[in-house]
Amino acid sequence: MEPDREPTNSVQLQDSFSFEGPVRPRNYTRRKALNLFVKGLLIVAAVLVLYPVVDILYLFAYKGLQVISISRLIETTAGAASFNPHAAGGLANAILGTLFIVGLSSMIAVPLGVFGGVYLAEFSNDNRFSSIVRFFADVLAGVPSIILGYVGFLVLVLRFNLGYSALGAAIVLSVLMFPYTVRATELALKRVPNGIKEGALALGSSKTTIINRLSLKFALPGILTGILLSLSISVGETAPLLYTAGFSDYINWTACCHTQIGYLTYVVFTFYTIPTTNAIDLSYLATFLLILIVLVINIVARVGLRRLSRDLESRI
Amino acid sequence: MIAEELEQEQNSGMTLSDKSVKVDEPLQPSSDRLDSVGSRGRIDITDLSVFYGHLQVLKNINLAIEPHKITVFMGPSGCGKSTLIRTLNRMNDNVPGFHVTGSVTIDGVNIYSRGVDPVLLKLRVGMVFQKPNPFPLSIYDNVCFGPKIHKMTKSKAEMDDVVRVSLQKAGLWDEIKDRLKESALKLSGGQQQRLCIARAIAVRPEILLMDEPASALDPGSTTRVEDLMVDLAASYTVVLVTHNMQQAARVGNKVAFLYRGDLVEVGQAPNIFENPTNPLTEKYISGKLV
Ligand SMILES: Nc1ncnc2c1ncn2[C@@H]1O[C@H](COP(=O)(O)OP(=O)(O)OP(=O)(O)O)[C@@H](O)[C@H]1O
Ligand SMILES: [Mg+2]
Repeated sequence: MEPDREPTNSVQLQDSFSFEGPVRPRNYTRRKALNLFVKGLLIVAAVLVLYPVVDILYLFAYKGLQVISISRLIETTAGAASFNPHAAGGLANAILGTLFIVGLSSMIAVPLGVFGGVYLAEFSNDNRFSSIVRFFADVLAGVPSIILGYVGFLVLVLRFNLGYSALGAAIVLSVLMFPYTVRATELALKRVPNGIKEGALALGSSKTTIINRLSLKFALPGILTGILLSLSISVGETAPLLYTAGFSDYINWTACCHTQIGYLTYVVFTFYTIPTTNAIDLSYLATFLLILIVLVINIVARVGLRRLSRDLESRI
Repeated sequence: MIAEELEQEQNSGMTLSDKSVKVDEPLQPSSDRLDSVGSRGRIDITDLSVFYGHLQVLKNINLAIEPHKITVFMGPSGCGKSTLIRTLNRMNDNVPGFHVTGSVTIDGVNIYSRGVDPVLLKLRVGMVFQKPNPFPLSIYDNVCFGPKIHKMTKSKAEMDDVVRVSLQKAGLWDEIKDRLKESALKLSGGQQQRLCIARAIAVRPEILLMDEPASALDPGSTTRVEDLMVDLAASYTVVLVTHNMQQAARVGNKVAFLYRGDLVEVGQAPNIFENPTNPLTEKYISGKLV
């Protein structure tokens, strides 16, 4: 009968494909050992990378939580660095200053970067000009920020006579952010499937329509990732701001000109060297807040954007 | 208004050919044109050669493609079928080095002449691709994409009708009428391809180009798409590329056989498979052509 024959077959099949059979490669043991060894190396490397991160987070979370208080969040640094043993004060001016400068700089860098990225990805046809732009964007990303700060000082503070100001600082920071926003936009747009663009083209869409209605939507998570990355880099910048923003102990919402402004990295950089407990506490707190901001940006980038790209796939 | 037209066509099996369109007008998407769509769609290819840079891909093609018929391009891989079909709605314009000599006229207008807007041309000549390429939008937004960007409807209700009728024509409506707001990417491959067909006919083209529309589909979906092509031929000029000879025999009216850029033989559908005159065609049909 038919059903009888089937089991015989499958037994035979199983036999010939058994892994314990004579087909085992000769260097099998060596391959397994090597595999194990490489795996071990990778784990060691991962721990070496993780250790400093965890250590930093732990140290500054520990210190930061010790020194944080409401008054240190709502008062300014005015007088905080004096040698008066009863000196008080907080970081309000520095927190708001950092947010103000970074906000201003993204208002410059994001539109420019996105437009630049759209140009590179969709309109340049990879001509000479576009490869020059791309090259400079890549070089710019590697220029030490202190050099950009110095150039900003010479050009903006002195030549254009902005003086120390939030505007000058924001312009220098936006130069720093630009390579990230422009390249992220370009790469995200280039990842849009060609089939989708052709489908839209075949419906009589113009290039701008395709970009507006489909490509940018599809590329949004990638573009936002680039923007957030550039934000977290610029939040932590010190040198360019020392050259262009000066520092102020007071809250200041003036962008231009000859008006110095406070920011967190300055507090980290200078208060630590002032031998009073209050100043050192404030520099710990500033560090803690900076790490917190960067952490929040990164979490938003990872969690929020993952959800966004999932939504892009499923809903809209 | 569009929807009514579409519906009429569907119900009455198409007899709009008496409505005339002026030869120099049809490349404009005026509402006039929309009202009289379906009456035309004749393509004449004359001495057409196509180049990618120095590479000549098509050599002196002469072919007439008649309205309301299904014209099939066949031939071995790389012979230039996709190039030819994409030449008919200027999809290749942006390919570096692409240029043509000779002419392609649609209802008497050379589509490569100056003054023809390639964007508007694509409104008259729709296209369906080998791989289903739904937009990452809802089913509804996929279908209304074309009408929306060309502002073809005046109200939401009218748009709803266009979407419904297009999906009905594509034979997809009954399956998905309750999920219009869901992502098109959730549909199966066969459903996605029919959605792409609905999307293409929503702008009411006169000509529908299909480049291997069923080659990525299972037999069931293939049959559905084939039935759909036959239905569509009632209202549109259909041009089909396929490797599947049974399919060509089932749905094709006219079959054009291409080999290395040459148009080797043209014939009526069942005939060319039974009595090919050219030895190359015969070899291809019997599977001996490499
Ligand atoms: N964008 C392009 N640039 C340069 N050459 C191209 C381009 N597209 C196609 N070709 C060439 O043109 C020739 C015809 O290609 P085409 O895609 O038209 O063939 P096909 O008949 O559609 O083949 P298939 O059955 O495999 O789809 C091939 O030799 C191919 O290499
Ligand atoms: Mg092809």
